[in-house]
Amino acid sequence: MKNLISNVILIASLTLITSVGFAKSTSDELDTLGGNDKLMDMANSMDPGNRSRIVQKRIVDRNNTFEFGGNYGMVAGGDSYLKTQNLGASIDFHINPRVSVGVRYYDYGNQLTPEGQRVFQEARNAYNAGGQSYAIPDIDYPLHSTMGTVSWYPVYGKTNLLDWGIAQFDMYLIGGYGQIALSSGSTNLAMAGTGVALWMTKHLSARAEIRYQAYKDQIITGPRDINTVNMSLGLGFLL
Amino acid sequence: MKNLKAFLYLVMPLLIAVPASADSFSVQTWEQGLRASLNAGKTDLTPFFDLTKIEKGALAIPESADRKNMQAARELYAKGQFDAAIQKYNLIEKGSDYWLEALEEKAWAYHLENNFEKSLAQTKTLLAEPLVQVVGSEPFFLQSLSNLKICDYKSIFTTHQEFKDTQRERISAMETLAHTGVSPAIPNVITKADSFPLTFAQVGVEAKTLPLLFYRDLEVQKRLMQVKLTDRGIALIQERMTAANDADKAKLAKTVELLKKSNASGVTGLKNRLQALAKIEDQKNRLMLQKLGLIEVETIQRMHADKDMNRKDFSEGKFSKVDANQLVFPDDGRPWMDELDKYEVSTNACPRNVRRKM
Repeated sequence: MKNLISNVILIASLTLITSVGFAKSTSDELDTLGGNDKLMDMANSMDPGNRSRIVQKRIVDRNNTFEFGGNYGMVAGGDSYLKTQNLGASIDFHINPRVSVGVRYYDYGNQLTPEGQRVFQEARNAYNAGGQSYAIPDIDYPLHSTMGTVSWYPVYGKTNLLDWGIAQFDMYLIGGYGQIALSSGSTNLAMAGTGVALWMTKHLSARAEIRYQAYKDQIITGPRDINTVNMSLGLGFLL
Repeated sequence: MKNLKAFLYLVMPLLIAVPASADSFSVQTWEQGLRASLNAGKTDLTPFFDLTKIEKGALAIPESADRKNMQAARELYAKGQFDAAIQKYNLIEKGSDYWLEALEEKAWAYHLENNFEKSLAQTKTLLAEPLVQVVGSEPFFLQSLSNLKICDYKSIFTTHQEFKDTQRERISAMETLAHTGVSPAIPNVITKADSFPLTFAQVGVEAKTLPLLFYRDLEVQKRLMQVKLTDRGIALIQERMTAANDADKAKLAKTVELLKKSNASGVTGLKNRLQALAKIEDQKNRLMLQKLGLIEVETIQRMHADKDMNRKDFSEGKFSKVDANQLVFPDDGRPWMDELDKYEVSTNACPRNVRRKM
């Protein structure tokens, strides 16, 4: 059996070599390579399982690096009579590419929602009509907040920026605690969220973030829990 | 999102070639000078067509750090000091005109050091989608040989199949050019050549069907310059002749006649030189094909001998550890342009010095 296999191999080898030697043109000779399904199957069954991957350096060095940012956000949830937006500023200190600590400041702008306007207008109308009984909802609106944050960046990736270039990004989890100034006074604020930070150049970043924020406001009936969802978009500069 | 093939082709010439430098010879500037002289009524145009003098300045190879590093790397490689040579090759950046050569030679240096993982990492870049059309056949041979050394028979057949699929057009184009001296890419190169020394950035996609590094060949550049300048010169002089007086017209007509002869000789010279280069590459392709054939024969023999080999005897390759400053992406065979030369390969290699049961 062994002899038979050796003979088959020898004949196959000679056929291959002679076909290479006497072929008419280089492109004709190309067809002498491969093309044997049985050999391919055999080779597949002997696949040693070699692996390859791509290893790249981060575009931005985020070891002991400061990032200064500004952002604009909208607030969902909370008091149903209020529509709140905010402008924010942040400083993050990246200890390494995985962890950063920072400080965030948000300045809030408040407007009545259509429902809020309707309720106040109704109360005003009732008052103007000399009514004795009318209800004005009590509102405790946010003025500004400051908090310390910790961010963890466990997931990374990269994306094609409209064929202008390739930008790396990190998805992160963020948690924070601080104070929020309300129209009634200051109170504690807790925050947890997630976001994506896009490292556009060595010194420019862009962030999109969604945060859950919880605090207690103070209305005439007493304190109540306010839970809001904050969505923000911002730009940052890395030094 | 990862399908950047079209984009890669678009940016490839920019990625691997330096554009013409500010001190290179610009055909446009030369044309402006000639036009100004003609408009000034000059009929003695000798300085504009003194090709020997122009070539001397225009085709001098510019000294650059990359060129020096490449020379140093090659000297070290020739002495067998592969580690030192690799260090020099690593200094050549992706944007350099020498980058592809540096990658290929670095792959050989790793191979000769028996570091097949790193050699394969280089050939993976060379044979990646945007580059495979312009690197020729040798990287396939090197990849196939490295795979043979580590008993990765499947990858040998895959490499050979890729060779057939990706090189057929180039091999065929080289054959045609070698036999006939004709290639549809030649007129395109003449059109595109607008400064000298010629760079890959100028020839771009035409490099796919013309001999490897033809744009660096001195004779090709001389002939190309001759064709280009005489071509443009004839057009400008004939334009001027319509407004010239009879005496000037006669002088200019004489010049045109001389330029036409020079142009014809340039075209023939360019064609002949490209044909000669194509013959060399065709012979090399044939040689590489024979070597790939021999690897295939050896593979068939080894597969039968090794089919009962215990997989436990294979050395298990591991990727090197990465830190938080590095990003790891899977290799899906379609690299992004920033991923070229960032490959890492981990092999499970067969035991060395196995006594073959043949």
